Amino acid sequence: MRNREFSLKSIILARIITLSIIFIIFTLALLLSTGNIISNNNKDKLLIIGNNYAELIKNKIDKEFLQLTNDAARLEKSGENIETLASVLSEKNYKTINIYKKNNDSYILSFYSDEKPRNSVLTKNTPGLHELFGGGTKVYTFAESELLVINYFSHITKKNTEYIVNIRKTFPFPLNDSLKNFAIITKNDYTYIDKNNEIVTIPEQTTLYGHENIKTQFSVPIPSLNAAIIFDNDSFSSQLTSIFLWIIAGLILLYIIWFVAEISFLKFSTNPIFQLIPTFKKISQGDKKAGFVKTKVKEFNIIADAAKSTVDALLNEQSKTETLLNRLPVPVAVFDLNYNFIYKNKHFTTLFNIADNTEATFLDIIPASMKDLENQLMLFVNSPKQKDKSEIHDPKNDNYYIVRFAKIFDNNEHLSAIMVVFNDITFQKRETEKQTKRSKRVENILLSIEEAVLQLSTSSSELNSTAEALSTMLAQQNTSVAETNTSIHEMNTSVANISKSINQITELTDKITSDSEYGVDIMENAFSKINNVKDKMDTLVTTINDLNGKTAKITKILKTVYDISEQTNLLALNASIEAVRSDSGSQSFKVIAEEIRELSDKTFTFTKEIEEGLEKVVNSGNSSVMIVEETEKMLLESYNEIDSSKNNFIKIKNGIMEINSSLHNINNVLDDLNNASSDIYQTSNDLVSAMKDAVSSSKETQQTAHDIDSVSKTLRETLQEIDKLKQ
Amino acid sequence: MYAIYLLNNKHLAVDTQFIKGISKKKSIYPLPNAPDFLVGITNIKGELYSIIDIFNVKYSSSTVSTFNYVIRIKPPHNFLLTAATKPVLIENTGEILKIEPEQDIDIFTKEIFYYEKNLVHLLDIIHLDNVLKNIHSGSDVNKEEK
Repeated sequence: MRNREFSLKSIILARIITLSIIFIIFTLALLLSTGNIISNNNKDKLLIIGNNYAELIKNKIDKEFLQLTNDAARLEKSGENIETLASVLSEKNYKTINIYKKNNDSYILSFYSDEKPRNSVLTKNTPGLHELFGGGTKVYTFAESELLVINYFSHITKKNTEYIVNIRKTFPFPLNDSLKNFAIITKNDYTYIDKNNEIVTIPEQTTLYGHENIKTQFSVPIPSLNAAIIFDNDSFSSQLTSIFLWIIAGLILLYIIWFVAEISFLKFSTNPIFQLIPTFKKISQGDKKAGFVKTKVKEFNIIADAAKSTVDALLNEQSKTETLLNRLPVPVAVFDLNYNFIYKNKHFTTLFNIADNTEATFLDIIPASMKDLENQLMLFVNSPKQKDKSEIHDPKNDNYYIVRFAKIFDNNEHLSAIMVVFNDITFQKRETEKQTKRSKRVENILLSIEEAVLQLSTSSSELNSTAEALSTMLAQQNTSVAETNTSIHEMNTSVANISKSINQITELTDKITSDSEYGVDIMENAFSKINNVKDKMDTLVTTINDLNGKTAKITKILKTVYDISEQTNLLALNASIEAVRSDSGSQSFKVIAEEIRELSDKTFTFTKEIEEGLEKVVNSGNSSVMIVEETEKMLLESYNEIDSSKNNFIKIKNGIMEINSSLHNINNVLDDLNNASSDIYQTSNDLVSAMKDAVSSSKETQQTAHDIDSVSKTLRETLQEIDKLKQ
Repeated sequence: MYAIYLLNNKHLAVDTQFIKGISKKKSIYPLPNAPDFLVGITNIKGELYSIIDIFNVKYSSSTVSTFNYVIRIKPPHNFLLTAATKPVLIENTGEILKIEPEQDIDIFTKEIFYYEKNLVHLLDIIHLDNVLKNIHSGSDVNKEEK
């Protein structure tokens, strides 16, 4: 069998599809079988019910017939009068008893218990009954208005008189209506004698009892009634349908539950695998840093963690090895059995001058000059006893190497890779050759150095001491003279600045003195004006208070006017009423009363307006007084402030005058200082010129030092030569 | 002619032929153990009158309808009716409405009509006086109505 691979997804899909198909087949089979069973069962049940009903009706009719026969016998055998007994019997049990007494050839109605039948004379020609004339009994059973009727006729002879006794009993069908959709219908046309003892024919297929318009499914005969029970199994089928629906609904519900469970199983158990697979693929493709997605299943997470930690451990090992190899100071490379590089360090790439990511094999990169290396390698790989160390000469660069090969085996002891290490021994080889040449040259150079050094040592020591002393001295002097000169110059400038500032201050103080005097004058002026305003405000307050008082009086008067108008109004109203009651001659009186009333209304309105106006006047007067009082208060405050300002001005003025006199004194002292510093400056300038002479003599000494320099240069060149020789 | 006024937020009317005069409310002297409809007595031009709160006659309640004016009813009736506003005189009643009067004063209401979009109850003064007298002599108000 072929070892074929299947995807987990397709397996799961196949599983869902297969199970769904099985489920559907099962459902259909179940529905079919259940439907048949229920249908058959229902039919059987209905047949049994029908037979039971037929039996029930037959029994009932038989029982009633027996009783009727009994009663007829009683009527015949009893010593009592037949009519009396009939009335007793009819009262007791029956709906109706009719008795026909024989008279000549016909029977004439002699007794009836209920209503009188229409056919009160029975002759030989009476259809359906003529056979009774010779004796015997006749029974008619029929249905009438959902009731079962037994019409019993019997020919009896009592005291030599012949009678036909007709007993009729009516009772409901002995059926229960628990089963719907059934009916009792006549099988053939059939005739009977009704309650009026007239013949009636019922056509075939007439419904005697139950529902009309029933689609016949099957019927059960009732021979005693010459009828049949027919059933319609609509109720059965509807019952069946509902059962089917319930079964289908249940099955679909089951299917949905299973499907949901399957999907959630997929989601929580299989999906995480799909989430993990891409990472595994990446790892297998060489991406060892790929991370796993965190799934919802604990076990999968454990697997993912284990895989990750294994990969990490491997990665760690690899990096350790690579670090070790990278740190080796010699060219190293590892390649597999196809000579593809597994690893090569940077010394190796430098040696063979190849790119880091080259895809060439080891054999490809061996230069033609080192063909020997290839031979060595072939020998090493193919023969286990071949030596693993050999010396190789690269004629291109004229380099010498010791090449080492090593075999690397995997866990199963199979050869998996080969490692090659180059050891450069060119330097050691060259060094030995150079050594001999170098010793001879050094000897010659040393002799010439000795000569030069002797010549230098004498002159240099002398000059050095002289130059050092002179330069120290000059440096010290030059510094101090420069410092002095700068200080003097600064002092001169400062004195001039101070003098200038003091002059400016003096001018300013003079101006302030005059300004403060002017200020005092203005303050006094303001004083007098404020006093004036204050007086006028007092007057204003008094006036407003007067006005308020007067307004209050007016308000009182208005109140009185208001009362009067109110009173007048009432009077006028009363007058109007009075006028109506008086004779028609007082019409004018009524008009006058109305006029007065209107007048008082107007008075009332005007009074109201005046009152409102006055209220506004009082309010504004009150607010004016408040404003004036506040202003007065503010004026007093400013009055006090101005007073204190005035005193301050006077104080300032006195202070400034004092400062002014002191400033004039300082100015005089500064003038003296300025003169003295000018003298000092002159002296320091003389000192500077003397210093210039000293500097010129020091330059001469420097010339001598230059000579020494040239000698030491010669010495340096010689020493460089020695350095070269050393190499 | 009719005098229309407001009491207890309802418009009432009295035929002026029963009115002796209209005055402002003055000092009222309440009487101890008096029925609720008798607000008190007051002195008008030297004559004492009893003040009737018409809304307390049929159904007794402890609150008195607020009033500012009193209407003097002529002899032989001689009592005062309370009014919240100054009465206004009108010539005719206007259209008489056939609707149920207010329960408090239904037995004293002669007619109901519209005046300036308000329902006005015209008071039956004679009946009111009869009722008041009968209450005084101890018979029931509603019985009197029958």
